[in-house]
Amino acid sequence: MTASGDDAPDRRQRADRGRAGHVEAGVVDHRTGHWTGVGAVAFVFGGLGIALREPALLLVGVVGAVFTGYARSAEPIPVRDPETGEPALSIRRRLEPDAPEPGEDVTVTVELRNEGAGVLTDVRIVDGVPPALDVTDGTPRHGAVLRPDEGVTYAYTVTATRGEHDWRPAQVTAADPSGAVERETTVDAPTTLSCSLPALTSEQLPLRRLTTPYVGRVDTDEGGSGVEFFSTREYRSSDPLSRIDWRRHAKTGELGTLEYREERAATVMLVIDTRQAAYRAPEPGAYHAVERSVDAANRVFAALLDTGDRVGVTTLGPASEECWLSPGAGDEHRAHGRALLNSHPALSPIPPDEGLFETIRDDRREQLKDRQVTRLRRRLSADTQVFVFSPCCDGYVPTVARRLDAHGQLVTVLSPDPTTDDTPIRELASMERADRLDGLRGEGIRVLDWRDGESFAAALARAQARWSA
Amino acid sequence: MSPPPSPGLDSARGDGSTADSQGDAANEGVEHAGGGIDRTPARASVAIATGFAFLGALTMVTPALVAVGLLGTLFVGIGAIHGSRTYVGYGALILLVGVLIGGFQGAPPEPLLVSTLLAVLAWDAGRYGITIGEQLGPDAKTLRIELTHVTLNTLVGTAGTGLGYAAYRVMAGGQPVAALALLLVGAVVLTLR
Amino acid sequence: MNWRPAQLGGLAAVLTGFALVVVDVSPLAILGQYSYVVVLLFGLGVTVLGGLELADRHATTGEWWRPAPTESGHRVPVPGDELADLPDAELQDRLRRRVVVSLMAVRNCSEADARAQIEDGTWTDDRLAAAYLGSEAVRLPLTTQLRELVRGTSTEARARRHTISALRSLRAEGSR
Repeated sequence: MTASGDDAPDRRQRADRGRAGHVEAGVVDHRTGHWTGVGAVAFVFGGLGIALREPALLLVGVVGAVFTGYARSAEPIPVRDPETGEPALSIRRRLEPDAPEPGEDVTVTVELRNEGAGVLTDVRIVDGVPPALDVTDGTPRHGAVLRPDEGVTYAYTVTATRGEHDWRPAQVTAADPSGAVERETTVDAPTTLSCSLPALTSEQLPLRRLTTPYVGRVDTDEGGSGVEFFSTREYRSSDPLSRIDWRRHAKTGELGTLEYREERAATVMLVIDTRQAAYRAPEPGAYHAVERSVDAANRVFAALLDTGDRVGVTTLGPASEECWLSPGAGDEHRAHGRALLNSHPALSPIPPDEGLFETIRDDRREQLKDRQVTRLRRRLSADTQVFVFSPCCDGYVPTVARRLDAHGQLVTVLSPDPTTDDTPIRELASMERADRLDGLRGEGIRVLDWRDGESFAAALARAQARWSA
Repeated sequence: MSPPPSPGLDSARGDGSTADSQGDAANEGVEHAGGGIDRTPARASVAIATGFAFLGALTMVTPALVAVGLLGTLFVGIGAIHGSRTYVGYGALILLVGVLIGGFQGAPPEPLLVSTLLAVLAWDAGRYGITIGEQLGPDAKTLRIELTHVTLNTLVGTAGTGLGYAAYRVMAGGQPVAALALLLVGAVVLTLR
Repeated sequence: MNWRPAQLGGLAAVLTGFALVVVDVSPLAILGQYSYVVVLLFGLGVTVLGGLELADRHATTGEWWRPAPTESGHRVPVPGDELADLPDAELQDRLRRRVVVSLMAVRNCSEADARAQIEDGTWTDDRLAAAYLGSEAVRLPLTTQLRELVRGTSTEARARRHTISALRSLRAEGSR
């Protein structure tokens, strides 16, 4: 930063240093060469006008001379106040909403203000959107003409993903009126977007039971809140009086014994596919399948705990990131699960660099994949029901589902659909996926196909209607 | 240059920031949501550049030269639309050649001055639109800065040319050629770096 | 302020010019019969300077502000993009596989039957699709043959599009 008295020789030094911008306290000057060549107009026309004694041509040369002089005399715009050293530009950002849910659109409104005393005729700004966020509407780039104390506002939209996202300094350039010199600087305003999975209230959760109740005969002495009527059978002398169907006796005079079945709490494991192949989206910048899986897992987790089941979470992905939460219940477990879904590294919104066992030889790779599934199966008890969350864009997860099913585990596959049909080849991938899911359905495995743009609740209602049909 | 990774989500995956690695590459233009790079020049400048060039063509002194000027307009238009400063330059050059020929044929200075001024302004507007397109992309609202740029340059050009022309008229008889020549060359050389 | 020779020369020229205007003496008269030559040379010299500057323009490239792109988050692929790099034969095989599966589901035929239908191109009315996946015996439609002949362009992309279209209609049959 330099005081006003030092500015002139500093600029000349910068000019003398040539075209490569001079860097000084975060300010870079660019001599754009926007007007190079105009001088030639002056020379050529002037010279020919003289040589041929055509005053008209000589006069035309004046046009070139005017612009050459104008361009050569261009000075970088001051972006800092000469006396106080304060930046001449300031920005303020507003996030709406400022604590969104994952997948929600956030509107970022940027206000750029000229705090200095001079007119800025050509200000260009590129906002520092956090690297993990994608701009889905509008653009963080803008151009403005600002008088002293004038501000301009513009807005763009990003899609929120889990985590804390910090805005970086906005890149700003002020160009002089002729366009010959650009002075680049950065303008900052600390802005953070915090996005985490919502804690779901019971109104937001699906109404119908997700798990298949474990059916078993209850000892006649047992009872309790999870008991429901099953049938009546003939009275035997050993039956307790409390189990006699008195209504039937009152009607028909016969004695019968009520039988009950108990709905036991189920044990469920949520398995989320976090391999590189699961990171797919219908458009390069859109909300991808792993994020949708985590969103769905969050809802299912809460819903299952609400119906009294015990739920755990694990991932299917690179072995380097082990994520395992044993099935449990209770408020502490609920909070623990949500925190895990929110921020465990295995569930990162950033895809891993390589595919599963990609660096390993082909034959050994199959072996390792097998071993991974076996390990998973061993850690699950026989009556644990498994909910697998995966886009199923390749055959791996269907294979895993079949293997678990073959060993007697009850498997449900919840598959967010990241496919699109905007090109023939992508449509082929979409068809392949649809056939994969159909294949699973044909083998009796429950499948939920969660289409893009649909709410999870709607998809779940649709699927449950089909499952119980 | 990149902020420290936020704990938890990023650390296990290393620096997954793809935007960083692309950001330092040479003039990438705007990264389009579709994955490609959008460098389309700003729309208003395309119209302004072509418009100026067209007017410059119309003020040529003979119909044949108007045709030459229209060819120049074509080049300016193509260059402005496709983001090629070279084509814009060729277009302006063609217009100026037209002016030159007009001068050889002994045309009066007024139409020549107007044509030249318009040609230079067209060249400026075209190049400016390309620069803005490369830096801010076509989606950004840049109409105000483009209009401001063009308006200011037009004023400067008109004022300067007007002064020169007035000086020329004032110095009727006497030494217009020699004096003007020296003034001209001197002024240009003076502002050389 | 540091003055370089050219700038001194320029300053001198401007001052002389002003002087001439004020004093109103023609330097050309002084030169006499050489005036024409001097003027011509001077003019051509200046023109050459201009030409040199024009040529020099290519040597001095301007340098603009290059803002780093900030719009993109972490880009993930779209399902199907990995298929774009497949060799044509493999892509055809995958399409055939899809047709077989669809035929078996929609028209209730066996796998062998489905394969046979693909071989002779009877699975669809679209001749380009039929020819694309079928055996050599299935002829390309005449219009396509002509197009290939005249333009010399490959019909891969068009054929693929037609095949997917035909596949789409085939699968739609099943849902009616």
